[in-house]
Amino acid sequence: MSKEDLIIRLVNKIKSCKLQDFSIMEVCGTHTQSISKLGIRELFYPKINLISGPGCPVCVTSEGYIDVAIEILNRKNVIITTFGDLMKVKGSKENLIEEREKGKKINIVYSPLDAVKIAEENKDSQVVFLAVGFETTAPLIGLAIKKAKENNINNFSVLSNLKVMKPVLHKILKDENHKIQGIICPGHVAVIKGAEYFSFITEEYNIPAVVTGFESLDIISAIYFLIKQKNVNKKQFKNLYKTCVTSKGNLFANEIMKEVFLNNHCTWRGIGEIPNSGLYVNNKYQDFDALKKFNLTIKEESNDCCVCGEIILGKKFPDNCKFFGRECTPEAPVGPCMVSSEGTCSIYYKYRKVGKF
Amino acid sequence: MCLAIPGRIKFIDGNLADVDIMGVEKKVDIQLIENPKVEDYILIHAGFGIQKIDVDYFSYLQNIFQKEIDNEENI
Amino acid sequence: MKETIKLVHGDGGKYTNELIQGIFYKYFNNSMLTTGIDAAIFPVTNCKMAFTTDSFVVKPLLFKGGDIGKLAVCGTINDLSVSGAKPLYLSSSFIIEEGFSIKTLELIVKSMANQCMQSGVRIITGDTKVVEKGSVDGIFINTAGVGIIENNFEIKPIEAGDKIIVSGNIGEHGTTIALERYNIKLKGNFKSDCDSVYEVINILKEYYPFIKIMKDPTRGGLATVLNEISNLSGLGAKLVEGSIPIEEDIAVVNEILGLDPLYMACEGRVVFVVKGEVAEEILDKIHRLEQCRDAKIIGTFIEESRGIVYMENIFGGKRILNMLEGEMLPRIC
Repeated sequence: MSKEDLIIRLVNKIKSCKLQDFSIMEVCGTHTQSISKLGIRELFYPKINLISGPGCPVCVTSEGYIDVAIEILNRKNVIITTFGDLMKVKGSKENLIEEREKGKKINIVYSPLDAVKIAEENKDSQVVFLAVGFETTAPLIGLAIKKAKENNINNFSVLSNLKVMKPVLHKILKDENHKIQGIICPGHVAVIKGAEYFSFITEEYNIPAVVTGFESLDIISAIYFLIKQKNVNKKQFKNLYKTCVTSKGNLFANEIMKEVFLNNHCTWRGIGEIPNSGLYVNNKYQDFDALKKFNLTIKEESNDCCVCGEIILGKKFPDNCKFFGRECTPEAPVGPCMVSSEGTCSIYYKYRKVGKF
Repeated sequence: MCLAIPGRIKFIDGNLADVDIMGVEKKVDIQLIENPKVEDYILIHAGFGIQKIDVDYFSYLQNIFQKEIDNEENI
Repeated sequence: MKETIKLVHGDGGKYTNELIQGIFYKYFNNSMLTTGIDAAIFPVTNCKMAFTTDSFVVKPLLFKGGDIGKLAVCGTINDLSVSGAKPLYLSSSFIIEEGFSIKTLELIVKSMANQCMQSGVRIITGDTKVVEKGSVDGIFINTAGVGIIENNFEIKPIEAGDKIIVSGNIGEHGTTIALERYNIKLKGNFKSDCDSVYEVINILKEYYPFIKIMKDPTRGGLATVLNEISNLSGLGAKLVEGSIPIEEDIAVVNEILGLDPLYMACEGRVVFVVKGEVAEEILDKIHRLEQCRDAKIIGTFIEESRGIVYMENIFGGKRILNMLEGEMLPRIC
C-alpha cells in the first residue's frame, strides 16, 4: 500500500467511526497550522472536535511583555531583534509593526545567533532579542546568550518570555470541567524534552496522548490512535515521532537550559499567571538579561474582556464569546486567539464563510 | 509551535555544518547534535540542528498502521 | 559627472541637464524623448487604449533576477498586457535621495533601457527630483504606460466550469526578496521571475473570446489574485493540491522561513481564467514559450462555496485560502 493509499484508508476509517464530539486537543501552534493547511479540522467535524491548545507562543505572549519591549525600544540607541511571529502581537496600545512604521529600529531575524551578530556589528547600540517560544527554542537562545558572554558582546541582552509546557497542561487537565478526550503532544518540544516528558498525561490523568510529527500521515494516524481508545479503560500513551523523538530527548539541550535559565511564574495571555511556567535568564548570565539591564519589570493587567482563556483551555468555543465576529475580528483582534492567524478564533472566523463550526 | 525541517549534513567545520535541505544548502549550528557525522540527517530549528533523525524509523508509521488498518474493525 | 547625486541635480539647471543627457537620454535613446520638450507627442489610431501607472519602492534595489528598474518597466508593461493591450510608450519618474550613487543609478537606468528594447516599448517622457537625505530610501520610481487594446479584449463574466491557468512557477520574486531582506544565506536556485508577460498574452490573441480575465499575481501572490477574481465573480474556486507549479528550491526556502509561496509575489506570471473547453489547448499553446514551460491548469471556478477559494488534497481535506491580511512575515513557531 502506498503512503497516500494508507492515508486515504485511515481517513475513511475515521470518518466512518461512531463518534460524536470527541474532543482532541492539539497543543502545538505548528500542529494547528498543519491541521489547518491539511483541512483536517473541518474534515472530521463534528465527530471529532480538534481544539487548539495553548502551545502557540504568539497567542500566549502577554500585553505586558510587548509593552516592556516597546518601552525598551524607546530608550536611546536600542535595536530590537525578534522572530517575525511577534510583530503583530498587540501590547496594551500598539504592536511592533506600528512601532517600526514610526521609524524605530526593529530587525526580524531567523535565528537568535543573527541577533548576536547584529550586536557585534552595532557596538554603539544596545541590541535586545525578544525571546519567545517553548522548550524547542529555549536551548538555542541559551546558546546565543553563552556565545555573547564568551565573546564579550556586552551590548546584547535578551528579554525573555520563554515558557515551558508541563505546568499549563497540568492546569488544563486539573480543571474538572475540561472536555478533552485525547491530546496530540507538541512534536518538537518532545524532540528536546523526550517523549517521556508527556507520558504524565496518560499516567496521571488517564487521557490518551500521542507524540507525533507534522505531516498528513503523522497527524491522521495520531488521531486514529486516540479515537481507537474510546472504549478502552486503561488509556495508552505513544510516541509516533520516532524519527526525531527519543524517550529522553536531547540531553545537552536540556543542560543548556538548566545552565542559563531559571523557572519562575509567568503570565499567559488569556489564561493568567501559571506558577513555574516561565524561563528567565538566571544570575550567572544576568548581564544579558534585558530586564536587569534596563531596570524594568513586566506589569500585567488582568483582562477579562473575552473568553480566550477558556477557549485555549478547551472549555469554550469562539461562538461563546460576545466579541467574536463583532468587535473582535482578524483585522481588529481583541484577544490572543484572534491575534494569531493560527489561534482558534482566527481559524473559526475564516471558516464562518463556509458555514462550518 | 516550532517550525523545524530535516536536512542532511554535507560538511562539518567545527560548530557549523553545511546542510543540504532538499537541494538548498544552508549553514547550520550543530552544537546540540551528539557525534555529528557527514551524511547524518538532522532536524533544524531557527538555524540550529536540534536532533539527529533516526532514518531507521522512516517507514515506522506506514508499517504499524498498515497492519492495524487491515486488522481493525470499525471504531 | 560627480559620483553621487546632489540636491543640485534636481534644480533644473546645468547639473540636471548633465544628469538627463549623461544617463537618461543616453540609455532611453529615442527621438520622442530627446527632443526635450515638456510633453511627448505621439499619434493615436482609432481604437481603445489602455493607460496605467505604478510606483516601485522595492528593497533591496538590486536582487537576483532583476532590479528596481527592470521591475518598474515590466510592472507597467504587464499591467497593460493583462488588460489586453499592446504596450507602446512609458513615462518614468525618479525621486532620488541626496547621496545616491550615480553608478547605481546608471545600472538601474541601463536595465530599464534593456528591458524596453527587449519588449519593443519606449520611454518617451520622464521627470527627476532629488530630495534631502532621509526623505526617501534611496530611490523611488514611477512608471506610467499606454497601449492599444488588441483583438477587442474585454473582461467577461466568469462561469462555473471556467478553468484557472497559471503561466509558470509561483512565488519566485517574493521569496528572492525575502531572502535578501532577512539576510538569510542559502545556496540554491532562486531568482526573481521579473519579466514581461506580453509575449505570453500575445501568443493567445486568437483565444481572447474564450479568456474571461487575466491578472498578474504581484503583491499578495496567487492566492490573493484568486480571491480578487472570486469576489468579483461571486463564484467559488477549487484548486487541486499538487497542481500548483513551484520551483523546488523556492518551496524549500518558504518551508525554512515559515512563509507560504501561495502568497509570495510573482513579477513575470499571468493567471488566466478561461472557458473550460479550451483550457488544455491554451495550455499547449503557451507551453511552447520558455517562460511558460511550467504552466499548469490549477483549478476550476465552481457554483458551490461562493466567494471562497480553497485547495483540496488527496484525502479530501479542504484548505481555505483567504486574501493576504497584512504583511507575510517569517515564522519560527
